[in-house]
Amino acid sequence: MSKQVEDVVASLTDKGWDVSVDQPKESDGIWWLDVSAYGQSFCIAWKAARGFGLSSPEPHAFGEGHDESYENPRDLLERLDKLVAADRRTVPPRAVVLSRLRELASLTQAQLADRLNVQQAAISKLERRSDMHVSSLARLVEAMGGRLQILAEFDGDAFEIEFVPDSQESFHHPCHVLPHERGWAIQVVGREPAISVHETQREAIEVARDLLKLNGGGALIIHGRDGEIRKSSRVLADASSAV
Amino acid sequence: MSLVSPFEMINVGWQVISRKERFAEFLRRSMAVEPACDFDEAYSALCQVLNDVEDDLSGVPYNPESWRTDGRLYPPQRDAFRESEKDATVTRIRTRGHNVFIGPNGAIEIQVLGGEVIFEKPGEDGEGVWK
Repeated sequence: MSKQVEDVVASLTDKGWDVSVDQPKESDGIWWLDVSAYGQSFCIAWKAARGFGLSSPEPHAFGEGHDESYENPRDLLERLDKLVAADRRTVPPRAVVLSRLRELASLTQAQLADRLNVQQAAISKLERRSDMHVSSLARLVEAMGGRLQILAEFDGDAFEIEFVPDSQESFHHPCHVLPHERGWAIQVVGREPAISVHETQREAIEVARDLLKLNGGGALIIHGRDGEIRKSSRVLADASSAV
Repeated sequence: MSLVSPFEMINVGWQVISRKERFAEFLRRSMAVEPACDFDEAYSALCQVLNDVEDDLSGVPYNPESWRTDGRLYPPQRDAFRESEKDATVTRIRTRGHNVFIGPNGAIEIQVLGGEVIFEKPGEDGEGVWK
């Protein structure tokens, strides 16, 4: 057993937590530690070249990567202490969180899109965006049946930040539908790369409208094949839009 | 202005479905393929079927080097192999939520970590993993 795995096992055992060690066939394989403490369970993976992976168990996570990763035992153990103390699960990377929440709500992308009166493509894109408006996130969470809560944490103290959606909030820059070598691209000026590329202009316009609706509304600028602006319109945050 | 989109790499076709549904589809397709005659054939089929399901339905590009989750399910690699305590001829493959047992006859059994069997497929000889 590696020194790092030994240190983790010893530390968790000292706390009185249950630890089961699952040893690989080859010494350079992945070690697994199945940990239970105060009604919570965690799976810890360790591989020499990778460090530690930490996840809460999930029944459908067949072969899935780890929610969190740590290079050394100290950081891993600190995180475990916090999770157990707060009775929380591990947190996957941000790009995966929204799809996980939707799955917890037992909703497909199509069902969530129906609730928000947008196309499934818009939900797919939103779930993969690295950043979005708080108002968009709040709408998504509410459509899943939840409530968005924003907490500011300072050394153990947590303060909820009250959030009141602003219906006038919108993209700071217009959303353009532009010709692209493979079809039509949706581009917000100042944000690169393009949000997406579509085979037809019609599909690009529909997705761009949905994205604007979900992001508090804003201007939609449609370009022709020659790149010149052909049409501009204002998309409102709700289901309607005004040209 | 760059118009290269990361989404161009994703063959979503707007038919992305949840992990639960994809896992069920993986089990369904695995049951449908011809029984394997040995370990290598069974392991290879398992990997192929899961990669096909995820290519078709996850919307997440293949990147097996990712240590943290990217939302995609990956076939367990050889660094996850273990010997089965119950039968030394059976290979156990550990994943985040499951143990996969593959016998020398190509039979496959998948258990959740608690031990519940959720998938059983005999080898070409008609026998299970624990014959």
